[in-house]
Amino acid sequence: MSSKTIYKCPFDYKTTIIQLPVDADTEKGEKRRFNWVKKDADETRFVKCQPDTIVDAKGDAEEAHEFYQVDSFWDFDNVGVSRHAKTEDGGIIHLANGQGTQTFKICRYLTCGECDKGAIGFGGYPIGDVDENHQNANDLSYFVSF
Amino acid sequence: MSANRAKTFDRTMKLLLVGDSGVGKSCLLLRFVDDKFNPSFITTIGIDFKIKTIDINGKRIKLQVWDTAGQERFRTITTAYYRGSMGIIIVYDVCDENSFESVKKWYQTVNQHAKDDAQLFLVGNKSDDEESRQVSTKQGELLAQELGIPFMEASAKSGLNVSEVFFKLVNLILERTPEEEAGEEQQGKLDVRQGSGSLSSGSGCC
Repeated sequence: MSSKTIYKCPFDYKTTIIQLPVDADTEKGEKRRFNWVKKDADETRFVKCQPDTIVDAKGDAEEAHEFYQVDSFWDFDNVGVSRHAKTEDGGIIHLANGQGTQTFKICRYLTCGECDKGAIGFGGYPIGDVDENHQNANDLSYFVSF
Repeated sequence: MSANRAKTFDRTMKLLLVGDSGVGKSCLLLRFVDDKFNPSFITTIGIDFKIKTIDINGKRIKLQVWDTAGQERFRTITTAYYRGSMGIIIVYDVCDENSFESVKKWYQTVNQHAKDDAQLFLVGNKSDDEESRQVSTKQGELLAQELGIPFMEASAKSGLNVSEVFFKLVNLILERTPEEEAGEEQQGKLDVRQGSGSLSSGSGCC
């Protein structure tokens, strides 16, 4: 099994949110790593999960700039998955991964599984997807911010 | 799913919290925090379910925990919650006799909708509030005995016994189905997916 980096809640810095392969941070993981591009003012704020490797964690909730795409919500160790947001609450997000920019419709927000703060990520689907009727939590793509 | 990412856990389990509204089911699962960093829109949308990971006997178990918060009235929707649930926690409030009276009603509903092999668990919540207590520990024990299900008092407020409830429940499920191996894990996952699938479509309409 490949080694992993533990990512913790940026608010309590105790709760393990997710463990990602270390190669998430190298070129191998390139396709799963996304940059948050074209941020619109007053758009949804995401905060970044803190890697366990940081020595002096201040528990500061910094604004996120990057996202990592996971396979499913089961990949998380501790996470809260919100209900499906109504269209007006949903918002969209533009992400780029070296292969181009994709726009996602945000359907569900992710929070820390212990302290309930967030948002530390989201579940959504690419806009332009043929089937846009993604009500089922299992059908969404999930992204964690870091 | 690539091979090195697949095995991050040994089993998955879907758990469900039921009981009258106001008994603190949500508090056993959630702690809504007022905080400038916690955008109110998330509180408004509400949490659908949580993933919690616990280690028991060297096994890494991922729990998907559902709360029927606010949807008790919608029986048809509630039914979807039961599908695929391996553990069901019936919660009452020790400071509210009515919620205790409702336990039998919940027990019947659960038996009607849940899988036969689902593990039930009775929890008397708010045990920290001795002054307002209306239901004694003994009463809870007797009812649990009568229904033939395990029982614990807990306090979401003080945190007393909250994780113990989950640990005990998961242990009981493991005892019932200890043989579950990799192949069956897949099956279990499928169950969970089906369950949550119907739920999601149900919750979408409120």
